[in-house]
Amino acid sequence: MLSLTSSSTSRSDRSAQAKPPSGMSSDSVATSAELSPELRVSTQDVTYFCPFIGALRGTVTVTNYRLFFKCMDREPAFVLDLPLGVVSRVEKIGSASSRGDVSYGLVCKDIRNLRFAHKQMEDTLRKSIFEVLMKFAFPVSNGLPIFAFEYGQVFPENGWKVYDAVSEYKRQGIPNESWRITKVNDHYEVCDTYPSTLAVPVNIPDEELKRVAAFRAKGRVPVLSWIHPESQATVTRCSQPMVGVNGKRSKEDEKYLQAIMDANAQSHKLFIFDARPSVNAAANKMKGGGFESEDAYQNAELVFLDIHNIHVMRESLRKLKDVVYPNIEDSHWLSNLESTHWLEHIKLIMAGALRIADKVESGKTSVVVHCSDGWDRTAQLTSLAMLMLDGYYRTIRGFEVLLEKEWLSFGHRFQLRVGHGDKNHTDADRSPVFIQFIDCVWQLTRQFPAAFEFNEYFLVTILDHLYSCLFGTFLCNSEQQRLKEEVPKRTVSLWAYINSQLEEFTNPLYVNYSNHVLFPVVSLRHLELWVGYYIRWNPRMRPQEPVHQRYKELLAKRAELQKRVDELQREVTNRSASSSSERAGSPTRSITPVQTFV
Amino acid sequence: MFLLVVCVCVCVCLQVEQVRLLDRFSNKSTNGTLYLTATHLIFVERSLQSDSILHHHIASVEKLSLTTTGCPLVIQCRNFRVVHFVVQRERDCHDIYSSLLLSYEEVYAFSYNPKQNDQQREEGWQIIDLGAEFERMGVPCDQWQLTNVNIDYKVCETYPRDLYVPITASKPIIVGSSKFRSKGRFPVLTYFYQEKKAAVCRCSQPLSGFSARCLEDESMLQAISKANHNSRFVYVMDTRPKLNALANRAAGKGYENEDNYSNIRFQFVGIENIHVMRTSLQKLLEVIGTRSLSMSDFLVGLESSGWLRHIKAVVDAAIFLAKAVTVEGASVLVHCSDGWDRTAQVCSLGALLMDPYYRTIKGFMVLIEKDWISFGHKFADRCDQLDGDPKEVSPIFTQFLECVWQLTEQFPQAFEFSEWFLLQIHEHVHSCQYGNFLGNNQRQREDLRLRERTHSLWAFLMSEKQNYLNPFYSPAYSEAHPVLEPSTLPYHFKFWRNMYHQFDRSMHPRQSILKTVLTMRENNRKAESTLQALEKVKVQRQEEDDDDDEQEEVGEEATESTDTERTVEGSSGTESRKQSYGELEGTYNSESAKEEPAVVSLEFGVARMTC
Repeated sequence: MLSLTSSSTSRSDRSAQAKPPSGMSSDSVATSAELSPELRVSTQDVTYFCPFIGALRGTVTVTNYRLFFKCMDREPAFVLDLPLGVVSRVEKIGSASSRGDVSYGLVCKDIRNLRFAHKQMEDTLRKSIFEVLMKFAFPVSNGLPIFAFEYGQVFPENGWKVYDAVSEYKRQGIPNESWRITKVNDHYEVCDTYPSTLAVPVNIPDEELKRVAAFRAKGRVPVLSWIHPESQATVTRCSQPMVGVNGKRSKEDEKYLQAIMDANAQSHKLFIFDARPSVNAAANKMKGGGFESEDAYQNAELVFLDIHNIHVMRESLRKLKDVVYPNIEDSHWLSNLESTHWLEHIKLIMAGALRIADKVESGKTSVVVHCSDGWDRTAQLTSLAMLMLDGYYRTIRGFEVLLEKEWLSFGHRFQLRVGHGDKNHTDADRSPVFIQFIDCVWQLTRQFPAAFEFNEYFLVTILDHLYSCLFGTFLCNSEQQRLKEEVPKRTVSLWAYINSQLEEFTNPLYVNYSNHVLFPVVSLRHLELWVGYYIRWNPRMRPQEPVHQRYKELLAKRAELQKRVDELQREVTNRSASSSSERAGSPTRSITPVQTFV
Repeated sequence: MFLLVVCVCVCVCLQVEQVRLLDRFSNKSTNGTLYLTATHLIFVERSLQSDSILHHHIASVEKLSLTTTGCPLVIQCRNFRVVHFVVQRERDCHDIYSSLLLSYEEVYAFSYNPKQNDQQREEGWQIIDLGAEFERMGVPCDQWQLTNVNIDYKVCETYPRDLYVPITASKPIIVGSSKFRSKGRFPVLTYFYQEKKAAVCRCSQPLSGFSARCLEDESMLQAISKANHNSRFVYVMDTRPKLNALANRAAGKGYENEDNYSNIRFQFVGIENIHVMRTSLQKLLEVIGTRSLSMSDFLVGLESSGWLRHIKAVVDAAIFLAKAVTVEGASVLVHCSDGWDRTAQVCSLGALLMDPYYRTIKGFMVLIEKDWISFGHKFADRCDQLDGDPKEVSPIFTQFLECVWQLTEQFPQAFEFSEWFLLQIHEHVHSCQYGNFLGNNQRQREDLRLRERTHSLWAFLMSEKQNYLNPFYSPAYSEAHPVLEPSTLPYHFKFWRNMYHQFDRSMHPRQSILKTVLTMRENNRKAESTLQALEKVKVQRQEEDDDDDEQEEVGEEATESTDTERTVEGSSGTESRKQSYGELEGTYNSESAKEEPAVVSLEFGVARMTC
């Protein structure tokens, strides 16, 4: 496998160095918000049961941000550095009355479980560690602030400035003759889960928009996500219509969809992609929801994409975790993998996104995408389709904009889906929707290794900080909540951290591809399990040799050659200029071509 | 391409117009004309693009029942290509069918002429010299000698003439031992690990039955053990599953009894036999040939075919061998039943793990020549070169190539050659275009006078060496990691898409890193030559020569404005583009698109052959 990223060892090395609150790498106490003495517990003689190496004895330090385990017996010293945000559950194993070792286990959100133990005599100590863990791993349940609010690291760039809705719409050419930007949701009155800035068809006044909102679940009206620079075909997103059992209709909604279709002169059709399986969509009618009937919506074609709901996805990832962690059963690897259906879900999502992108690019037809509430599957589909259609989103900054726009501003409920700092680990609202999306992006990068400016480490870093609660980026459920909590003011953005060390996240194979549309093969022969994420804790996962290193060398050589060519050319030009000044025009002419060709 | 068409005119036997070629996995099809020559089946599209299949590659031809559009004909090839033609008239279809079924009395190699004279041909055959190879390993030495017992193929006719044995093994011991071994294949040296003076030997199963003994054979093993002072014992690896070995005892064969042989450690490693492997591959091909395959069917089918499990078994055995030799410093004797299938796999793969030389292009050729060709892997039977017994056909060598490929995936820097080298070798093992793989053993090859009548594949591959280089290869890495220790976790054994879907373009990767890197290297090379040209200009200028012409020449390779048109990459359900895979690939870098090195066209043109 030619992997774009470097080895897992060097990755952990890198992340150890790069992890912002430094000072833990040595045992010395540093001064940062994290390490104020009353928030810190340290214990000697703790056993960590590593499923790969075996039992290790060492010291544990728990702060309000992380759990830090260090074992000096080994060479090099074994270090485990775990942000408490990834802990989903802490459980006591073994009763206090028995005289043997007592232990407790941590179930983590990032596909691993950890087990620690103390001697019985240290029970009081264990209790204190256990209590500290319970307290700091679940600050929300204990009425404490999430660590992101205390982490005061300053980066050269303000990550919150990465995305600005108006300038992103402007980049797409909005407003134009058929689309306008509306401030009707400025105070989140029309829809409290939508952003304040929305792009809607020109000929729909704000008043009508409010009536459409009444017909869409949670008031999530169809709004523009992306517009094709040439054909003006658009990707719009919304939630399900409130059709109900009686087949209710809304004149305004029908007119609205007609307006979306009319905004694109190239096509007299509109595709409505309902991400759900048709059975689920029909079942939603009982709850007042449903789907657009083709009678009511002239010229619209409804397509179901058969993607399952958050509960199915959660179950699938849980099974996957069982299969890959801690040990992999040799003989039934493939059928075990199959039984999780994880790759099948990935395939359906990618196939759906591909159909959307294909309709927009090849069919020049506008599409409307929705699921039930329009914040899970819809976000996956629109953002993946946009990634295929628009090279800008395949740059590092562009990808940040894409996440800020399609996921954060349009109200993917990160707080509920991830459960930041919440001890209620069985919450049915939790689901790996976002992980699935990042997995799909990774699959794309595998098929188009030169089309993405970012590397695998970038994707893994985003997922790591989805849980770490170090940055404010993924906190809260909507833009409105984030503003209310003053997240942008009181926390640091993940993008500040990433953009301050871009070279870590850059794909050396990247060539500017902005005008290309990517149509991946969603054949199962091309989809594979993202071993670099799901199985990264397994040390037997042999680190890939850094192939990109070789490419970097070549790039460096090219730069050097280019420099020498330039120098020589300058020299030659100077010489000829001095010798034949009457021909001053020609040398400059000959410089440029060589540069482009090297 | 044009050349092909001209060539066809000379020797075409059958020509059928209006033939449709269906794509295996989509609903696309192309129209064209089908030509049948003495050696090839050639399909020429309307656009004059042509594609040819060598008769030797055809494994089976099947006529399906007549449809409204014509008479379908499905051709399965040994290089995993499946071609689906629809011929308009049934009579034409039948003509093609029956002429394809005609057995040809002579292999292609005897008529193939790459326009070389006899001297070049002879030089080609001399590229690989096994005597020199054993010298490289440090043999003969104070413990191992060259024996001439088999100089007339008297002792063992499936072995080569030159064999290396311990010095203490006298001729009577050798002859006695050979009589106690199946097909007379007594223990001989195949690889010598100089650092620890440990030897890898190979042989066939002993004819021990339930209780038979042979003192000469026992002293032969004793001699092997004595030749290595580092270890008090020698490993005997029986590569078969224990059950199979037990069953063989009833036929008067079997395995070594640890009580009779002093200082041996006996070990079964459990690689299945040729029949299991053949069935397994068939199952695999069935699964991947299914048109609309669901993810579940694919994963479950892949697992139940057992193919990757068998690959893992071979790699596991090779790792065991390499560990025993390099870590314990013990000598190892490897055998299976006849010692020409599983034994060849394990010995060659083990040597590949231990010795970086075999991971170079030349070294890999030497390895195949030594462990496969000279020690008598039955290529003619296993690859079904001339209508042999279907029960003898088995993808043993393909498996070996796949094991190597799995290793290249784990160690991208350790191999001098790329995947295309393996694919090309696989292609020619079945093509019968070169003499190397014809026949079952050296003796047959000498009888056929192949060295005089055919050409060597190694010479051809060497002349195209540039095409097979792995850009990631790092000799420094090889020096630092002489012995490879691969991981055998199940997810490290992957489906080899480029082998089994080599000819299904819709299955090819959209962008290949290999190609990007190759292009990059090519660009750097060009930059270097520009640099040289400039330096020359500079010198000229210094000599006060006039004038600007020279300089313009250098810069002539011209600006290409970056195109701002939207380009579509990859395929979609509705397939709106006409470009072929090759053209598409070229678009990935507007700078280098036009300067794509000829090298990389190989990626999708492996099958294109010169007529």
